[in-house]
Amino acid sequence: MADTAFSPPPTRRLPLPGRAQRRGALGILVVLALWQISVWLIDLPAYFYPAPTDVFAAFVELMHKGILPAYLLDSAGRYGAGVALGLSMGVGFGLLIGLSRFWSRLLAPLINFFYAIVEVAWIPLLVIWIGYGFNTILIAITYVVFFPVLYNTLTGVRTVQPVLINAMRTLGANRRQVVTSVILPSALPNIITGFRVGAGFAFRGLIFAEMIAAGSGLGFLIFEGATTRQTDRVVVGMIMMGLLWLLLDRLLLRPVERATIERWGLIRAQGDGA
Amino acid sequence: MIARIPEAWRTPVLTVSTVALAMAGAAVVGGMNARDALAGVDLSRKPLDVTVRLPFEPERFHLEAFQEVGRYQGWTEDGAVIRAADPEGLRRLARNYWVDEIAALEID
Repeated sequence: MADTAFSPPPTRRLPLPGRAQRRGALGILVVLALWQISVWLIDLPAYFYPAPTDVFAAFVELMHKGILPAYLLDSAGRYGAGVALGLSMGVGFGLLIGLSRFWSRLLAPLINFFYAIVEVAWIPLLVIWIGYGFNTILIAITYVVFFPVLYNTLTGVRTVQPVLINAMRTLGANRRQVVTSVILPSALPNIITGFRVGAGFAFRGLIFAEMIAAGSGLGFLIFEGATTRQTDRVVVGMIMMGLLWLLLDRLLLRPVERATIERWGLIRAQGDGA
Repeated sequence: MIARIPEAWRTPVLTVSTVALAMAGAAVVGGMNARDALAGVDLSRKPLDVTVRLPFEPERFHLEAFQEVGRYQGWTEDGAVIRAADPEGLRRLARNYWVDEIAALEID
């Protein structure tokens, strides 16, 4: 007892990167090395096939000139607004269709029809109707997020165990209480899964929309780089897209999904997965 | 403080907090940059014609930023000439770290 009373408090070490992370980093380094070697071997003009060093120089230049931070912020704002709107609409319509046979019969064929029309097909029409800029991009992202969230919400609502609903009704709960206390919490893991899938698709929608309908943002950076033969900038835009998605998924979407499933889901999360 | 957050929510909460903190930091630095960059300009002067000095030649992105502030007249060795600038727009422009200095336009 006396020994432990005066022992120093246990020191908390920062967790060292695991084997998976080390291997991931090694994979990236190998790809970069192969890329650089291929540039030396093939010896093509830099505008045609830029080297990693050119891309890094373009990244530094874009940061120095304030272009990349501004474009990143623009894209992030559009993405956040579109995902939030798509999520709320998807959940709203999912609940509506899942809870009401009338709305289900009325809307299901329409939704199935529009699901098949990809957002890229809408963008030229949206540009004619609304013009270039934020609103067109917002609608494009919302459209992309809407369907996965809606279908997952629908699955969540329709797979609620009837015994739980019956139990609530037996206890005298009204329709609103059944929805808020049983159906929504039960459907939440599905909704969050739909949100994660939709957020991934939204990223593609954002880039497509910015290429056609914006004067700023990562999609515009890629488009402008291609038209001015600044391929190093195109690659910077592509790498930023990949990095952003990786960070968003690892630091926000995946932990939120796991936490939701742990709290409300029937299946306990088993580790990280791929 | 961090220990109070349920473990499952720690990463998302820390991520959002870090982003918010970084944006607040950028806003503070931008404010300081604006004060330094605009030190030599009387913003109440009319017409407010200025030269915006940058450490590089402006690109389309910068020209669009200038056009939001006033009438962009062109790029000289002194910098970008903006005529009839809006004081509030100039304050916004000066918050950018890529702006070295904003000076009143000297007419010879």
